[in-house]
Parts: sequence; structure tokens; C-alpha cells
Amino acid sequence: MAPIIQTRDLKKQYNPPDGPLAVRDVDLVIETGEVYSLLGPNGAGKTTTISMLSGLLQPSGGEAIIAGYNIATDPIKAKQVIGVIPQEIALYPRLTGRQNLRFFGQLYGLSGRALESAIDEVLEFIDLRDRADEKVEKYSGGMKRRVNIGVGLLHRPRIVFMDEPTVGIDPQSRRRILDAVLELKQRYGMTVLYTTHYMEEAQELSDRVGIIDHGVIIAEGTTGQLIQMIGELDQIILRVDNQQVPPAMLEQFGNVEGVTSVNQQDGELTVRARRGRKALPDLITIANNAGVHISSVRVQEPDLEAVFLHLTGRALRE
Amino acid sequence: MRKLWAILWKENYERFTDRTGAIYMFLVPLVMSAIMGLAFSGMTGPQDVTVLDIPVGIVNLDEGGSQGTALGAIFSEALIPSDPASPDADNPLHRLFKARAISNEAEARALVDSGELTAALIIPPDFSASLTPDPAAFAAGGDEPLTLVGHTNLTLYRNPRSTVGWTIFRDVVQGIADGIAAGNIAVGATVSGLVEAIPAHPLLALQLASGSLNETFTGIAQAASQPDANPIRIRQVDVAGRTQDAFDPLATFSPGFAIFFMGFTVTVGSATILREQRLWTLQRMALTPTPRGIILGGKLLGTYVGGLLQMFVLMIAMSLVGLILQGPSTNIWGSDLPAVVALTLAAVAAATGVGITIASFARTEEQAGNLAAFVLFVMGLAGGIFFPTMQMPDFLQFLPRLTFHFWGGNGYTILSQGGALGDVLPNIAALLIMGVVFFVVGLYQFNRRLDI
Repeated sequence: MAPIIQTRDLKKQYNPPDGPLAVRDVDLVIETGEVYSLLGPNGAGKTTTISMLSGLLQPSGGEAIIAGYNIATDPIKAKQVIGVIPQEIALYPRLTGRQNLRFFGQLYGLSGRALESAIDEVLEFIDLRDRADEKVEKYSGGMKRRVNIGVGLLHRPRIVFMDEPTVGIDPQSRRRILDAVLELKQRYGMTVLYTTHYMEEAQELSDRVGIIDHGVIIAEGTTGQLIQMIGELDQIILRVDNQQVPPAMLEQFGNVEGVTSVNQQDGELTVRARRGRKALPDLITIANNAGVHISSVRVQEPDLEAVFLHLTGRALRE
Repeated sequence: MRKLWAILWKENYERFTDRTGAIYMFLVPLVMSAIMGLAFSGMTGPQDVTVLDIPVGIVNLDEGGSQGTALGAIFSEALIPSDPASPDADNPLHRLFKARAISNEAEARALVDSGELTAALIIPPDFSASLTPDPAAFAAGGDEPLTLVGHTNLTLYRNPRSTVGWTIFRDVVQGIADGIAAGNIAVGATVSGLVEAIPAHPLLALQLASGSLNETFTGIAQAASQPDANPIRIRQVDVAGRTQDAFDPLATFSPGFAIFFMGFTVTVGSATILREQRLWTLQRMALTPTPRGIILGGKLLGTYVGGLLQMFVLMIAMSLVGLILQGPSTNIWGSDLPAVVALTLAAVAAATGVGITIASFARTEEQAGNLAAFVLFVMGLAGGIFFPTMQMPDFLQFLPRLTFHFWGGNGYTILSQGGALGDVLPNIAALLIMGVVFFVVGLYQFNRRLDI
């Protein structure tokens, strides 16, 4: 079966010929029913990529095929299968939530009973039925975000593009949105392209993650594959404060199975190990035997943040 | 079509449910025209209006009376300075009018039609002859009542695009004609004419000597002093050959204010494209399977319909204000409904075109608002919303014609003075041309700049 989203050498240059290349030669292959996250810092090219895929921006080169339609040459058909949830709260503040949904529903070609039932269904989904007839300007930030999501789902799209939908909202609303994304996949079988600069969101939601930086996808795969790809190790950080650590103890640490290196700095011992949690009891026993008191223990397992750091030398939120 | 309707509905729902917007759209123009109506409702004549140098022409075709009297010349003498290069500054009529003699009626009409003259007075060839007695009638005697003076018509030819200036000229001409008719001039001419005729008609001398004509002279004087019996009729004719009413402050100012504020509404309406771009709702519309043309078309058509609704509501409301201030005789918009509708459609189209162009050159909604305030205020000034355009110097007289305020306001004035669709066709044409030209410019500019 052909992928539902496929791009080849997709690029975007603003103000050509001298303007910056926001996206360079992006090749994406996303299968039906997949949740794919584009993870990258601000300005990495996530929104530009989604804008090109949704027909809002004309690519400077390459092509994007959405559900079999070329977005550049067949935009109306492609847009019929896409639901876009932009980063901005793209709603009319003086209209009610229901009126906003009705207006955009009409632009998606819905009318009559089909439109009203789609509105009811979406209001149920975003859990806003009881406040649907209040003006959007009276909603909280989280409620606006939910209506913003609802608008993109009205026409039951096969593909949903979500561009940083959790920016600037409270943890409760954020949790609600993440659950909604999972529900879209599990209950409705939708394909979701999700952009974020929150590593934990990408890690929780995604079947696959594409790490994007300076307009280039620098790595792609499942979370596990990405971590394995960079061969990143667990870090065990043992706090010893100002105590004297005997060199023999450090040598014994180095002999524990899986441990590859030991460093002492600023009252902490940092032990890098292949399976950190398994090595931890042995490390504590050695320290006790050496008469070194450990005041705290922290185990850091490798994550997408570490992957990004490894690949770019920068933290995701720098 | 459904999508176009949805956008149009949304545009106007937002516009008409905004309280602040409603104040500017309806309350402010209504209050301003009511104030102007009240301020000018006590106006009785031209002396209340500060207007100078109204260009008028006088065609004196008067061939004189039977005894060589030339009453037609009185108008020329009163209105045209003996030396046109240096008019008498103390003569209010010379200050008020820039009058000139014109040799024939056709030329005068052409000058009025072209707008070079506000009006022309045409004095007929039989003017003096009609107002001076034929001595042969005295000499003939007989049982029938003696008619010493007949009736005559002065023709005032006017361009309907001039309002206040023409009204003043008409009143002045009427005043001079009243003076002639009241006997100060006519009776004097009659007596001097009779005295001069005695040598040729000896019977007259006998009748005068016996006093048998005393009753006749009394009759002349009495008849001449009755306004209803004024033998001089002023036929007021505009290019459509229609008689006119007096100056009506509400009819003069209300349409102007309605058009002025409608101009703001449609410009602000067009600038909502910029607001929607900022709010990202424009992009969101573009993300739906809706062609770009429908989105822009729906928004601009919505703006146009909003302007129309505002105009029609203001028309009704201002008519009600007029009814309260001036009674049932108020006629601000005229009575030719198809003409009113056609003119309104054209005026809103022109204003929408101008509004789109203004908004298309702005980068933000705020910038569009500031630009609109400046451009529309200048256009309103030039277009005669706040003062008669005839007060402008000659070299600026072309300015009003560049504004939709002038063509719209003038059109409504013509209609309020009894004009019909045919009379406002030039106005409608000018407005439509303006609308199309500005619409194309604005749309091109928006299309070029909007990144959706």
C-alpha cells in the first residue's frame, strides 16, 4: 500500500534567490494510521514543512503527495482529506465556539444535518458541549485550543496535521490534547503528523519521530531506534559531596559489568553504563565498603533530548 | 456558492454585532446630520451662506419695449460689474457672483452643462415689451378692461450638480424681478413711456388731462404690488428641464454623511483581511478545500453588502430624523426608488473599491485604519461633505470629481430635488468606473501581497 504522505526533495526558500532555505530536501514517508512527530527546536522548519504539506505555502522545489494527490497541482482534493490544527488559535473571538465550528464546517463542504451532527460529535470529542454557545473570547486558553483542534476534525479527515498544539497551555489541557491525539489514532484510525519541540510529547505519542534541525531531517525512526542509533549510555550520578573518594573505589566501579567510564566532578561521581539500573546495586555496595557516604542517586536513561544533543551539540530548547 | 454565502454571513454577523462599530456606522452619522439639519433649519436666504464668486451667466435677449425701455438690462447692470476686471468690493452682488454676459442661449447652456457656470439667466426677447404698455391700447379705448402689462418668463438654466450656489442665484434673480414687477420700475417705465407717446397719440393727452386714466394707473400699481400677480415668472430649469425646490439642509448634508461613514465601514471591512491574516483565520480558511477566489470574493462581497446595509439603514433613520425636524415635506433621498437603489449600489461599489485599495497598501489593520482616516477625510473634504465645493478655487474645481463622496452626494441631491434615474446616470457611471478601477487595483495588490 502506498504511503499516505510522501515527499521528495521538498524545499522552501523564502525571498529567493538570496533568502534563507527554511526546508531542504525533506523526504518523508508516513504510512496510514501512523503518528509521526517532527521534533526540533523553534525555527527548525517544522511549521514550514506542515504549511507546504497542507497547501498553504508553495514549495520552492520537490513535491508532496497527500493521499495520492499532489498538493501543488491538486490542492482542493488534497485538502479534503487533511485536517490542520495550526499553532495559532485561528478562531473568531466574537463568534461562539459552535458558530466557529459551523463556519469552518461549511468551508469544508458540510451542510444541513451532516454539519450539525459533525459539530455535536466534535464538541463531544473536545468536551466542550456545555460551553459551545459562549463567545470564544470568553474561553480560557485551554478551551480555545480545544476548539482550535475541533475545527480541524470536523470533516473527519484521514490525515491530521497538528502544529505544536500544546504551546502555552496548562498541564491539564495539555494532557487532554495528548490523549485526544492518541484517540484519533486508536479510535478513528487517523494518520497524525505532529510537530513539537517537547521531547516527551514526541516520545509518548509517536510511532516514529523525525528530528529536524535547520530545515533538514537529521535522523528518523522509532524512539528506541534513534537511541540505539547514537549508542547513548545510561548515566548514574552519585552525590558524594566533599568526601575523599579513594582511587581504589573508582577502579572497582570501572570493573562493574556494563560500566564504561567514571568521572568525578563537583562532588558528584558520574558513571556511564550500558544498563545503568542493573549496575546500580553493585556501585552502592562498593561505595559502602569504601566508607563513602552517598547522599543521592540519579539514573538518567537516554532520551530524544540526548539524541538531539548528540546529533547537534545543542539542547532542544536552546 | 454556499461557501461564499458562509463567508459573507460571517463578515456581516461580526460587523453588525460589534457595538463600537455600530456606533460609528449608524449613530455618529445620524447625530451629525441631525445637528447639521438643526443648525441650518432656520436658514432663510442666501445671506446665511458664506459663498462667493458663484459663476453665473446672463443672456439678455431683451429687444426693449415699445418706447425703447430695456428692463432686461437691469439684471446685467445689477450683477455684472462695469469693469469685470475690478468688481466693486462694496457691492455684495459683485462679491457673491462672478457674472458674465453671454450672447446666446445655446452657449450659456453649454457652459452650464460643462459645469463652468452654476447657472444662466435667459431673458427673453419680449421681456420689456411684455412689461410696458402699448400706447395704442389707450388710444383705442373701448369697453373691455384695459391690459397694460402682460406676462413674461425668465429662464434660469442650472446644472443639477450645483446646489447651494444655484439656489442663491435664483433668489437674487427673483428679488430683482420682484423689484421690476412691484412697480418701482414697471410703473415708472409705463408713465414715462406714456408721456413720450403723447406726441404720436394726442388722445392720450386728453385722457391724462381729464383724469380718466387714474383708475387704470391705480390698478397697475395695485396689481404690481401683489406678489401673486407678479407678471414675471421665473422658470427654473435644470439640464433635465425640471423645476427645483428650495435649499434643504438635511437633503444637502445627510447623504454626504451617510456616504462618508459608509466609506469608513467598507475600508475597515476590507482591512479585516489583514486582521484575519494576523488572527490566522484567513490562513485557516485557505487550509479548507475552498478556492482562494471564493475566500477573497466572499470577504469583499461581504464588505460590499455591509456597506449597502449601512446605507439603507441610514436612509431610513435619516428620513425619520428629517420627519421629526422638518415635517412630512422632508425629502432627503428623492422619490425615484429605482434611481435611489441604483445610485446607492454604485456609491457603495465605488467606496468598496477605494476601501480595498487603501487596505491593500497597508501592512496591518491599524495602519489601514490610519490611512483610511487620512484618505477618506481628505476625500470627504474635497467631495463637499463639509462645505460646498464651489468655495474651492477654480484650479481645484476638478478635485471633487475624483471622489465618490461628490458623485454620490450630488446624485442624492439631484434625486431629492425631483431628479430621476436619467439625471443621475452620469453619477452612477462615474461611481461604477471608480469602483471597478479601484477594485482591480486593490485586488491586484492584495493578491500580490497576501501569502495564502
